[in-house]
Amino acid sequence: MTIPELGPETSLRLSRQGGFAAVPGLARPRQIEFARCDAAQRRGICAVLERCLPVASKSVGAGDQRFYQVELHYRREDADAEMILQIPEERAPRELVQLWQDGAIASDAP
Amino acid sequence: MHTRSTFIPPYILDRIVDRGSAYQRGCARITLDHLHSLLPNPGPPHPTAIAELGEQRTPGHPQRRIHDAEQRMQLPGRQRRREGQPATGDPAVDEAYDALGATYDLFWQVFQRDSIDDLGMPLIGTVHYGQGYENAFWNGEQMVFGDGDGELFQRFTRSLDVVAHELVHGLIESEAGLVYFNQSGALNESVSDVFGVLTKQHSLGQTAAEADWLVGAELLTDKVQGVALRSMAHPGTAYDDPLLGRDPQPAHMRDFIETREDNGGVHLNSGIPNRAFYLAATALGGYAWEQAGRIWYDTICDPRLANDADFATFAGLTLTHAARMFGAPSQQVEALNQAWAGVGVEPR
Repeated sequence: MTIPELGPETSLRLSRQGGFAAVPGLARPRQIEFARCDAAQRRGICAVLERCLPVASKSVGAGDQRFYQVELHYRREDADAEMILQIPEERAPRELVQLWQDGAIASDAP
Repeated sequence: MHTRSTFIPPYILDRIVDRGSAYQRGCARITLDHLHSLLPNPGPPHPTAIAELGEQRTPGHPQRRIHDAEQRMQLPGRQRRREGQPATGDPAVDEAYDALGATYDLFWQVFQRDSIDDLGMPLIGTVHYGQGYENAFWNGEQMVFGDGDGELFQRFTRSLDVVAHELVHGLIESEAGLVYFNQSGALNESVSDVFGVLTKQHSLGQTAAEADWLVGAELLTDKVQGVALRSMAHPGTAYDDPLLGRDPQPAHMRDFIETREDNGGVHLNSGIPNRAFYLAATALGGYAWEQAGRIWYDTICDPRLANDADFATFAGLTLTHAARMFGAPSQQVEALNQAWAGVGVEPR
């Protein structure tokens, strides 16, 4: 699996889900519109997503284990497309947690 | 080249979509159908190396090991208390030890079951997991408990039913292996809640009428507007708080939530079978573990219960066991029929 080509119309929703205390207030979904990001920020987000691919799983959450869910909405061949990644909490890259928590990404310094 | 941090605008911290629009429900259905075929059965629990340290089986007596993660997130952490050792003075360690013992006692004394796998599997718990970690879980090998953030949640070992809930996830993996997704996932959560509260009632010697039927009542701090994390008697009423949000659990099939969140709402729709159990247990009266609990236990141990069972299938099997145990017709079968009807589930 690879991250598709993401144009400026892309939107990304990132949330933390599951857990014994799976209450609405703890999901804290973060919505990011690529149209509002500069090129370096988009590259930074894509780099975070690339790091998630090896640890993403279709089977997450069992026994109240928490996980991060990334929902990508983008355009592919003039049609709406969607990609969902689920990443177990204990395997989540630090950069993904930082993005969810603070909306922060590491980007190349000029 | 070095890196710096940049912040993505805008911050949109919207609320979870708990009852989506028709469009959202349509999306959820497509996604869930797609994911469903890809989910494997987690399989029975597998003892870790620490669980196999030459322990002899001791039916009727648990083998507990409580570890301390010391605020890190590495398992199992430093061992703090083994079976038979005196209290440490650390509330989390001692609460976990006592609660795992109480859970073992329920299953041994009522169902003659020897631990998670009925083979005397050691009960391993780790406390002080992470920093301000507001969760408890079963990871396929052991139970893990956070200290809570102190603002909204206190340490997760404070609630006996929470510790028991996590142990029961292991037991379910040993038996029905209910896939943690959609209705079978909600049943997995519900059965864990059921035996969580039964452990508490058994420990306190409470009848169904005396019990509060709350899950996690001791977890929330005084700052939270709520009484617990879930209510089995009245799902959807446990909390309504500016920070936590409002308890989203449905209590009836007409309010069933189709969602792509939380593995298809496993912690949401569990409210429906939770209330069915409450209705059955309170209708039958007495100690809930003696009749309703017995029926539920035999149902999850029945090999005919498919790991992707839905509510209707599960309900049908509870009736089969009620009829086998108490006869049909019987007061128990009638109570169960009423309970499932009360939450809008038609047993299959």
